[in-house]
Amino acid sequence: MLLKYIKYELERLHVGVWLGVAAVAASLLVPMTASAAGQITTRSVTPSTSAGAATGVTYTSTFTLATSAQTLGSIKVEICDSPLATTACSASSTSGVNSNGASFSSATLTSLTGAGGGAFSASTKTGASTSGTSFIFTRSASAVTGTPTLVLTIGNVTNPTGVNQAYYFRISTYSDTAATTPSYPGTDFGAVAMDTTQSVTVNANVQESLTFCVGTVATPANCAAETGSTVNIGTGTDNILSTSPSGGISTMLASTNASSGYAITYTAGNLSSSSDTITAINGGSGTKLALPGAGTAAFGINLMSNTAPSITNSAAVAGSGTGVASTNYATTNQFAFVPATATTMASAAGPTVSNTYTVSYAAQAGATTKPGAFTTTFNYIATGTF
Amino acid sequence: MPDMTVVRRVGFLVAAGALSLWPAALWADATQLSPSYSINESQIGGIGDNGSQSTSYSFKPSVSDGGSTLGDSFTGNSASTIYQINSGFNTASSPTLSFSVTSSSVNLGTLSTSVVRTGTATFNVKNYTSSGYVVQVIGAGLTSGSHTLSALSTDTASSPGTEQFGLNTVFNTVAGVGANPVQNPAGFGYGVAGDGATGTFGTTRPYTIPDKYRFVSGDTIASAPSSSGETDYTTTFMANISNLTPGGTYQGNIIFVATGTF
Repeated sequence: MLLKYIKYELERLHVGVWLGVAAVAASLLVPMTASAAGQITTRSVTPSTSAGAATGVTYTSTFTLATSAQTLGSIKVEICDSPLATTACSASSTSGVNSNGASFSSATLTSLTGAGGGAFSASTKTGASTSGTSFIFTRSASAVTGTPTLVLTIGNVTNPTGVNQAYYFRISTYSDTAATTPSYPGTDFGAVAMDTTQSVTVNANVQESLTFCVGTVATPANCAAETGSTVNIGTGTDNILSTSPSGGISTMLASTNASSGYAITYTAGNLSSSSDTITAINGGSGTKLALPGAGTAAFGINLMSNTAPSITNSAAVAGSGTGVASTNYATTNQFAFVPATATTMASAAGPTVSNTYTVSYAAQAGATTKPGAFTTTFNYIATGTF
Repeated sequence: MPDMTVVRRVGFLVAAGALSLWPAALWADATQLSPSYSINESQIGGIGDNGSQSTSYSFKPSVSDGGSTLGDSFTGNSASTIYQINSGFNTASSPTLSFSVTSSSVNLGTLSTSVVRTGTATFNVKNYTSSGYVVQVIGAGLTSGSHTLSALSTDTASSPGTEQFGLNTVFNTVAGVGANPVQNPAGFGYGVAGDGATGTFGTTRPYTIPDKYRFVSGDTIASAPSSSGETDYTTTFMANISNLTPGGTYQGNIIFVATGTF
């Protein structure tokens, strides 16, 4: 009985083997038209931002077709949760939005180049109810040359909502304009993996800055080098103010990062003693004027190099900054002075590196000026506008 | 009876082996390609099948043998400049690109005209079945109101007192900050700082020169030439200001975009 069974099995196997061989032969004779699509190669998608939930995103996709000389009537792109053509894109309850939150609902075709033939135009956008979000581009069907590389740019895409959300961009090509022939995944198919991520916010603070110093050092290199607080405007070791003009200098340095720069004002009373006053030049109007002739008392200042009177170390505004002297303080040998009123004598219109201002103080006694120790105090204020 | 079963399986395998000649020419998920054939995830080894089956046979381990590691003695990646092989039969069929930025903010503190300020952010990338990836940096730099810190358009050393903003993706010896890319696990990642092509790494390739920084929106700051395990990157941000840099709070959203080529 056992031998009979063995014989039966061997005969059955024999038949089975031949049936298998026949099947192989048949399969070799009949071309297989499996629905497998050609694999799109060298495919990539670059989003303008990979931030989760970002809207208005531009996707630029580059890909090379696999099937040479294929008839191309439409191209379909999809955002899916799976790259596999055999796996349907999952949907959400919101029309036009994929389950991961991505959407082509507002997307527009910016350009689709490289295929030759007619131009593509935007066509159907598929809602989420059946296959997730998708976008089809069509043209009059025509054959491509060889296996061209296409560049597709889609604007106004909405990224998936999650951060570090993996998702996939599918591309499929069709010979008809409805993206149905051949059936999905079409003539050629390829998927690109993508991923959302968070952006990095870089923070830094820059402090508002205003550097301003006053002293009596001629041409100071910087504020650290500035010292002194007294200016003698008379002559000789006794500092005598006569009916002939004389003077002295002080200096200031100023810089700022203020967007509207700075202004330097001074406030000072008249040059006075306990019993008399040296009159402010030009009646204290603040309008520049040369010192009057001998015998008339006058006191004024400017920001220039002066020769009448000759004031040692007097100098025009120096440095690579953009600071300038005000008009009434910017003329050689002409002076102005407004007593007891804050008056702008220099300024910069924007952020500037340092300038050195040299203030010349010029005075002369009048024929009737009473003797005494004449003095005044200048308060300089730099105000930045940020 | 057991012997009969063995014999039947032999016959089955002969038929199936013959059948496998044809599908290789049609199922063209190509990583090897010629005008007349293509092979998807081509395999080198004695048991080279990744789940072939029909109604009458199957090579799929989970179906025919109840296991999932048939022939899968080890996995890994071998690559040269012109090829790469992912070893192991049960490799994933899906392309993947995993990209994670692990720092959401970088605080450079109060900028100074005399001392450089730096800060770091990290991100990691891994991918599979691709021809590599690039990571681009996109942003407008650091801005406060209408003023934007001057971005370095070429790889430039830090110069306190000069307005500068830039970044790189390598370890900086002078500032002592940053890190070179780290392969995780070692030997399975191929990510590198920079674009992997321009100039020479460490000396002329943008974003790879220690202690030199650069920021051009859209530039590639990291890349891999092939499928790669995880590579961990550290980006160092650097800023200096001048006396003229307007005061204020400066902020910039820096976006990293990873693009895989499949």
